Amino acid sequence: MHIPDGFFPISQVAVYWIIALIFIALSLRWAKREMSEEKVPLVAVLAAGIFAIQTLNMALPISIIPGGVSGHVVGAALAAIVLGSPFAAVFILTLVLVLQGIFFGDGGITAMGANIINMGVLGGFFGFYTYKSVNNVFRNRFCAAFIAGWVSLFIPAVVCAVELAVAGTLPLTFGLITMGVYHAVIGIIEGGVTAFALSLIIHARPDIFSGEIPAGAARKAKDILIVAGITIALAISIFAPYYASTYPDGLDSTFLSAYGAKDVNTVHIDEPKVVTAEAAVVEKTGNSFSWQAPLPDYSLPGLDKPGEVLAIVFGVIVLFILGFGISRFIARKD
Amino acid sequence: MIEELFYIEKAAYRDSFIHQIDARVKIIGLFALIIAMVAIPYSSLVFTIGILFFIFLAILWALAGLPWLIYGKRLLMVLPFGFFIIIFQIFFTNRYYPVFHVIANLPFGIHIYAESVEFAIILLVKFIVCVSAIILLSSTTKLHDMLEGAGRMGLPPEFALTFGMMIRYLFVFGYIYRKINESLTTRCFDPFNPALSYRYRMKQIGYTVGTIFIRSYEQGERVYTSMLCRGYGKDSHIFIIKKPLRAAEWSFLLFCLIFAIIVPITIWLTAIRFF
Repeated sequence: MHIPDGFFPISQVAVYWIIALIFIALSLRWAKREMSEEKVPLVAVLAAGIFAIQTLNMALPISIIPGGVSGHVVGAALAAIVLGSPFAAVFILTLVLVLQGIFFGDGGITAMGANIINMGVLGGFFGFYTYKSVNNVFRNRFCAAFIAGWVSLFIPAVVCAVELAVAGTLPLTFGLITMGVYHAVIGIIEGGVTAFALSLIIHARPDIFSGEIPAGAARKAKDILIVAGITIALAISIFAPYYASTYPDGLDSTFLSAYGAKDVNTVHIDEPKVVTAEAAVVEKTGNSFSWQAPLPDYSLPGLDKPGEVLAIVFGVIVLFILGFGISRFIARKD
Repeated sequence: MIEELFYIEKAAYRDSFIHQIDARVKIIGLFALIIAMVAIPYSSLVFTIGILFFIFLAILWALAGLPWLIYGKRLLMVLPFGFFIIIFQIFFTNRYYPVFHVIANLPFGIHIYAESVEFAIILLVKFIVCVSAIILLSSTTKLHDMLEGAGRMGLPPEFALTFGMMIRYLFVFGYIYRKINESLTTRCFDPFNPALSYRYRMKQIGYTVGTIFIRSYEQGERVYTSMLCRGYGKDSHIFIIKKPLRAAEWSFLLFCLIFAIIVPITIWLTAIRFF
């Protein structure tokens, strides 16, 4: 998932770097506020440890490609959960990614902004908050750590595919399928290793684990609401394309009826007349502007129903990130 | 990757004109080259500029007296992800060309397009030049020198201190990683062995990761205690002495910057006049 140099146009490089720098600045502020003087050497040595952890490869649980493919742990979720803050993951992963980019050439210099956003920011935040929410609902650290590890790898991979599609260097559908499927499988390694590692850390050194959550009733209710909301939204996303009506909605139906492309009382649409109707509207209004949406009609071109499912799941995730991010940003501390 | 750490640092400890140049000069000069390469639009201009940049980097590599085998090995290490994206380009159309011509038809309705092959080569040239610059930088500059150089150029002290300590313990964990691998091998544990249950393999790797995490944490605690004994406090930062650049270093830096700017502009102007 380490994007190399040359795969983003320079304008997009600047945007990703600006976003990454904002989060690096926030993680530095976290480091100044939260890290006692003891934690500076601690975090530094931990970053070296996470770097070593990233080199432990393991075979994939499912043989997708003949000959075998392996994967390794990123460690963003583990760092965020153990140190009790997603900014810890941003801070540590930034150090690791800078080292990997400048010293090993693994991940580009100009693409480092995007890599920090994907693995550090998204990995850390999704890993941490998934762990918190799932643990609050099910009261099972192992299960929560597994899901958090999986999410912390899968979401950045999907976002990585979208970034490359926006850059025009990887088709969206192909990128989402290959990156999504591959990382959904590697995510099992990330999730499993995160869960077993956390279990060992809690048993061997419970004092260093600062990721325990106060069991406030209101907090629990809020987390149940978040998890339930996302689960319902994702369930609808999966089933909606198969059960949704194929008939036009009220506005479409009225428009088509007004131009004789459909009878008000029937469901039959006269396709050639639809084209004529659209041309008539352009002629009448003089407005020929047409927006080419990246996911037209809630679908991925050439993928039929699975494409519609992926498009809706993607929309749900994007809206959740936006909604959650904005609410966290504007919410009052009290 | 951790095994690579040792021989990269070994290469950086050699002595040559390139090795002796101040880290700041190499960081700025080579980053300028990378940014210039990335900034060139996806067009056939990339070929000429890329070849010139690559020749420049190859000359610097030769001046550094480093074996080409090291370069080849390191390039192979970072190829997979970039190569995956590049190789699949040839089967897809993209927004950078208005028309696509099919040059080969494959089963299942898959086509190879002439323009997509060109685009894939453009990406490959950009990728190889940028990675080569990084390989040159890291093979001729010690990690600590790079940190000092970055510190002199304004890297935040919190970051510099943490990064410095991370570098120091990177090698410690390199050795720990080796020992762990050796002990796993001694116990005949192979994470790729399909005869072992997947849950068991994952548990062993998970516990190994947890062990490294705890060992790094405990190492951090010991480091903190020993640093306290040496007067460490929350306002402590890495002390980096000021070091003015020599005339030769200024000249090399200026040459790199001019080369990174002038070459693309000249090639672009030549292309405009030619067409």
